[in-house]
Formats: sequence, C-alpha cells, structure tokens
Amino acid sequence: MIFNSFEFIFLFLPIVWILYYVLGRIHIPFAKTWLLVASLFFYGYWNPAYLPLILISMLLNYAIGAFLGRDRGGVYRRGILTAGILFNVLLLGYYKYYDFFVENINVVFGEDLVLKNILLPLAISFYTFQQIAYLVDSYRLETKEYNFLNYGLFVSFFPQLIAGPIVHHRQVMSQFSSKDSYRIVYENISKGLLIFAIGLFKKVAIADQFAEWANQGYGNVGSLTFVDSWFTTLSYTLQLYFDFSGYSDMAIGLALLFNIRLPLNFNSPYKALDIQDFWRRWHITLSHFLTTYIYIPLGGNRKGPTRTYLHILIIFFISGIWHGAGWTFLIWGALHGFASVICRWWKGTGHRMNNVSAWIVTFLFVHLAWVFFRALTLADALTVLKAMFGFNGFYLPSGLASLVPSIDENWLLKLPFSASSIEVALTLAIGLALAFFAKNSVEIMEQKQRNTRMAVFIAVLLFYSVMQLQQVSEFLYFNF
Amino acid sequence: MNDKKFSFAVMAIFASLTFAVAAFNFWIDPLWHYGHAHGLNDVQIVADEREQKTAQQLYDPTDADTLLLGSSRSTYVQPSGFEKWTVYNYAVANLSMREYYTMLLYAFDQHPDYERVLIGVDFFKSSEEQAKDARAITGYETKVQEPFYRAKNLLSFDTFGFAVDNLKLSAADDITADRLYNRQGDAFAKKLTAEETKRDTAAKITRFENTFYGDHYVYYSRYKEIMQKVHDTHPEAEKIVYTTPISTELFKSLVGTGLLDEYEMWLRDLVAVYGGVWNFMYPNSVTNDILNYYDGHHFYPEIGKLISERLEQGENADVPEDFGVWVTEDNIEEHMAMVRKLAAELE
Repeated sequence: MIFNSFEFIFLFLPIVWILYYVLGRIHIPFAKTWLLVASLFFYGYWNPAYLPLILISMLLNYAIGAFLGRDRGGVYRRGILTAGILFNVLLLGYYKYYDFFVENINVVFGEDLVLKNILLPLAISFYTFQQIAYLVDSYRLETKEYNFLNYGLFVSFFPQLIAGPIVHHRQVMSQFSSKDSYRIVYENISKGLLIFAIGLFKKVAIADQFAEWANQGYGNVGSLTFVDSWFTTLSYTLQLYFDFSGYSDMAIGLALLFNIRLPLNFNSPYKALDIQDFWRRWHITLSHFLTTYIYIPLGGNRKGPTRTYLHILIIFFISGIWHGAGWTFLIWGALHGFASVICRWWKGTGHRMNNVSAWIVTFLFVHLAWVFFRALTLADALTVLKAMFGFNGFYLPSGLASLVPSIDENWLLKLPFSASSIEVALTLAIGLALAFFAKNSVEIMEQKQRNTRMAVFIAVLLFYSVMQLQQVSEFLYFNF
Repeated sequence: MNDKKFSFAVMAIFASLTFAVAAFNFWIDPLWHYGHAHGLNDVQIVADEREQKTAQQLYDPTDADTLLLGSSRSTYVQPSGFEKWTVYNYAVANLSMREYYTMLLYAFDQHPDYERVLIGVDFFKSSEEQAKDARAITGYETKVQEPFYRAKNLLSFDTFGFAVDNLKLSAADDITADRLYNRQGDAFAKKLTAEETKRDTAAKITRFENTFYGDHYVYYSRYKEIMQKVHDTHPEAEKIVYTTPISTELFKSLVGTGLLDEYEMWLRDLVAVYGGVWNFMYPNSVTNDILNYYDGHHFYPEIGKLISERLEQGENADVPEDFGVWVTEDNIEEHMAMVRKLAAELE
C-alpha cells in the first residue's frame, strides 16, 4: 500500500488511527498489537509473499539482539554479533545484489551463469540497516528495550517502513513504551495533518509532473540536445527532491498522528553550500547510519588524512551500492565520495568560496551526478551528459521562433515533451525557486501558525491531492 | 486558533470539499457507473468509450437480448432504433477487428443471456496495418474490476471536468460534438452544414488515401481465421454481420485506389464464415447523399436507424429499397456484378 492511494487515505489510515486510540484507552498492549498487525498488513498488501521474510528477519534479529543486550554469550559475543550482521548482509546481498554479481561474473569470466531475476522485497534495504544498528548497539549494551511488540513496531511501523527514515531504536522504542503515545495529543495531530498534506501535495502535484518530463527525456536520450537535456535532467533533479522529501514529510506526519516523532530525514538539501553540507541535509538518517556504524568503526578521521579520505570513499561506495545494484549507482556514489574528499581537502587548506559560488558549484555537481543515478545504463548517462555540454548541438525550442522571427529554422528543435517549452521552463523555475528559497515543510510545521488561513491552505492541499489519486505512482525510494 | 480547532477545521474543510465534488460527480455520473438519469445528465460526452462501456456492463447490468459490437460508425446505430430487440451497443471508437473476440467474451461473462450478436465491420479495418497488432479489452476488464474503482473515480478532477461539461450540455440540451450519448446509450452527432460536410468529407478522403487506401492497404491474411473465431464463440447466440455504409464519395476513393478486388475478398470471407452479411457499403440512395454523413465516413443516427430496421426486419423494413443487401453464397456473384457496375459508373 502506498501513501498516495485511495485505499491508504480513505480506508487504512482512518481505521487504523481510530482503533489505535480506542484500544489505547482499553489496554495499551492491544493498541500496540493492533498497530503492529496493521503495519504488517500494510507491508503485505503489496506482495504477501515477502511477509514471512520480514517476520523471520525481525524475530531472528530480536532474539540475537535481546541475547547480546543482556550481556550474554561470554567469549562468543563477538562471533554471535558477526553471525547476526552476516545474516542481514547475506539476506540483503542475495535479494538485492545476486543478479548484479552474476551478470558481472558472466561478463568478466565469460561464464553463462543463470540469473534469478529476483524481485527486490519491499523495504529490505531499510529494515536491514535498522536491524544491523540494533544488533551492534545490543552488543555494546546500549539497548534497554526487550519487548517484542516495541521491537516489532520499531522495525515495521508503517509510516517509516517502506522508504525510511532509517530509525535508530533509541529514537522510537521509548516512544512506543510511553503511555502518552496512546492518548490523543492535538498538537501532534495538527502538526501531522499539516506536514502530511504538504508531503502529499509535493508528491502528487509536483514530483509526478516533473516525473512525466524526466521520463519523456530519459526515454529518448539519443535525441536530446542542449536545451532539452537540461530540461530533462532538471526535471529529474526536482522530481527526486519533491518525491523523496514528500515521502519523508508524509512519514513524519503519519507518525505524529500516532504520537511518534520520527527523525528529520531531509533539510532543504539543495540549499547546501558544499557536498558535506548536502549530505547533512539529504537522507540524513542514512548518512547517520553510515557514519555511526561504518565510518567511525573504520577509524573515522582519527587515523590521518589519507585514511580519512579512504574511509570517506568507502562509505560513499557503500551508499552508492545501497541505492541500487548497478554500475550507475556505484559511479554516482564514487563521484560523491571524490567530491567529499576534495571538499574536505579544500577546507583543510583554509580555502573559502563565497556563498553564492559555493552554492552554485554544489548544486551543479549534485545535479550532474543525478544523471548517473537516473540513467538506465552508463552509455545513456554519458549520452545525456554530452548533450548537456553541447556535444549534440545547441538547438533552441521551436516556440522561440515567434519571439525571434529572423532565427534560422535549422537552429530550432521540437522538444520531446508533452508540454510547451515555455510551460516546462516556467514550471522548472518555480520548482527550483521552491527548493532554493522556500521554507521547508518541517520549518513550516514547527511554526506556531495555526490560523484559519493556514487551515484552509492545508485543507485545499489535501483536497487537491486526493482529487489526483487515480494516477497513483510509486515513490522513487521504494526501489532502494 | 488552538491545535484542536485547527485539526477539526482542516478536516471539516477537506471533507466538505471532497464530499461536494464526489456528490456532484455521482449526481451527473459522467462515467456511467451508476445509471441514474435526470434532466441535467441526459447529454454525456465521451471520456473513454472502452472503459465506460466495459464498466457499465459490470456495474449497471443490462437486460438486453442483443449485443452490438463495432467501431465508431456502429455507435450511431442506436439501441432505441430497434423495435423488437433490446440492444446493448458495445461499439467503441477505433475498434480493431482483433478486439471483437475479447469484447464478446467479456459481454457474455457479464450477461450470458444474449440471444444474438450484431457485428458491424469496416473495410479499412481489414488491412494488415490496421489488424496486425493484437488488441484486447483485457486491460480495461482488469481496470474496472479493481477494488474501489467507482469510488476512486468519484474523487477526481478529471471526472469533475466531464461532469461540468455534461451539466452544461444537458442544461442547454444541445448536441455540440460529433459523439454525445444519452442515458439510454444512444449516440448523437452534431449536424453540420452542407459546406462543413463537404470540407470534412474532403479532409477524410485525403486522410484515407494517405493512410488506409491504395498502397497502404494489404488485406490482413488472418482476417477470415479471426472472424471464424468470433463466429464460433458462444455458438448459442446468433451472429449477424453487417458492413458499415461509407459515403459514395469515399467509396469512389476506395475504387480509385484499386481496392475493389480486396473489397470483394473481404465480402466473400465474411459470407464464408457467417453464411451471409448485410452489406450497406456500396453506392446506393443513402450513401449517395453526402448530407447523411458528417465526414463522409461516419453516418448520422438517422442512418443508424435505417440499419437497425434493416437488421431487425430484413426485406420488410421500411427503408430505401436499395439500402442493404443480404449477401450470401447464392447471390454474391450477382451482388458483386452490381457493385462493380456501380463502381464503374463512378469513374
């Protein structure tokens, strides 16, 4: 089930929400159990075949975590932790990377190994990372909560299950334990409604519009020239931004409706002034996981500059492959890794760039790197990049002919978009302005502006969005 | 405003707006999901004929004893034009001959009691180009059966747009487009002036010559085989095939681009499969009058009424005597000789 669907908004959410509070008044474990069952239903609604997988993963990790957390295992503790981590990594590796590795072995060694064409189980990347963190913290005796209901909710709570944020047990377990979470708190409801409406609108009204143009352009990479390649890539840059931030807003809003505060995952990343700043703002919980559980254990920045750079490259390599089993994702991760190394070196030498230049350089880099993230193949990515740098001609949209009647017709090009070039350009400009200058949704939510005008605004956003629910589209991060 | 008031205000405004649109969409019912009729929804524009008619059979079951299949031309054969038979017209725009089979299966799944099937066929749809791609109604069948399909469509700006247009047209009781329906499934077309008809006919003939006729046309090798499959499906129901009458001007173009032999092959195949075919597609007193068409290809419902009478009452129908010939193995030579003679006169 997805957030921007009729079934979710008009059936699942109201039923789960009302019963949660009704049961919470009767007996809190009933409400917890109800929320857990509802979350598993939410997960299984898409493809029930993967429900046993998440259940086995939850049960096994809970058992290992609870065992380690009670300081048991003696000299075998490290071995048990390693086995637990290996279980998670192998599970993820098998479902997500098996075919990728087999394909590459076939190419490199000329083998003819059979691909399994495994369908990626929904959310496996997210719940696996969450549980690895839990195991490590249990080994470090940092986990305090051994109630399976709370643990089950920590892993499967439906607002964050499918595409994050990647939640740390410390952030939510205590909230599921607290009696206060089962009483109606109007502040959370108003905040939840507000940010959910903004997120839904971002997804339905903004991201899906840019998706149309991005798909049209990336579906015709061979014919792209200068202007349409920039239209295409900017459309994708904005699609991804509004899609992912829309999802994150909805997750935060939905959780608040149940009195659960999820961590911030997205903080106006296109306002970043350098690449490190970008990663402090984009998919914040993934960066936190990689930093806490990989970068710091590797030695972080404590072992000299060379090792620091190496550690940075390693975490970006992992980030790349985590996002997708393919060379395009690896290159995207590597590009960000090298950019982060250069950024750190640059700062270390004491150089400074003025804010405007820093912002332009950062955004352009992120934008160009997204080409690898979106393109289906390396060849496609290079074709798009060539077009962006004018290697495929500098044709102008044919719509300009009326503005410049004397223009040579050979310089004009009919763009491959369903909308006029003026409409695409204007919409892109509005989208970029929102990303660069507008307050983000969490900032709006935290303001104490609760007046009639805001109520009408939020209700209209919700209304507009639900009137577009026939064209349900998945969130981009569902695939990662 | 405190958080409690704010929350209630948001939900109340949202619920009011959503309910208002859903109620309006339900009242006008522009997608034909509910079937209620009143003075302000009696003129309905087409959103997606395939989807609407496929959903209509599921959600608003018919008591018809006769199923009509065909393309946009056959949409103008109005159910109300039949006197003895109760007809459900499942004709849709741009129908491929490959779609008859799945539409027939679907219609009988919804309503197994059809006694007969009327099948409108078009010559230009018998070409390789028009028939080679496999097409089926299956996608629509699946779509209309999705959970909450009707409820989802009530919550839609697209549906709202159609509903507003229908309200305006119904209030004015005006036929302003080339295909508008009433609540009984009868299609109507805007009446054009003689000048507009001439212009649109010329444009249509040019399009046919550039797209469908002449060298663009190659008779589809599996036409007979597929028509046989349609014939053999639900054999308990009688199958009656008719050709749609194009204007004589367009027929002249067909002849002029050298397709008379293919036309004959097409008729012979239909006769071989079905035993007989009502042929309306040749120069006659109806097709000779260009004002019976709005573009030389699509006839007005008045002509559809003549077709329905001929199909229902045969030789006894009160229609121009030369409009419609029941062609069988016994008279096809004679019929073709007549058609060839008329064709020669056109040149």
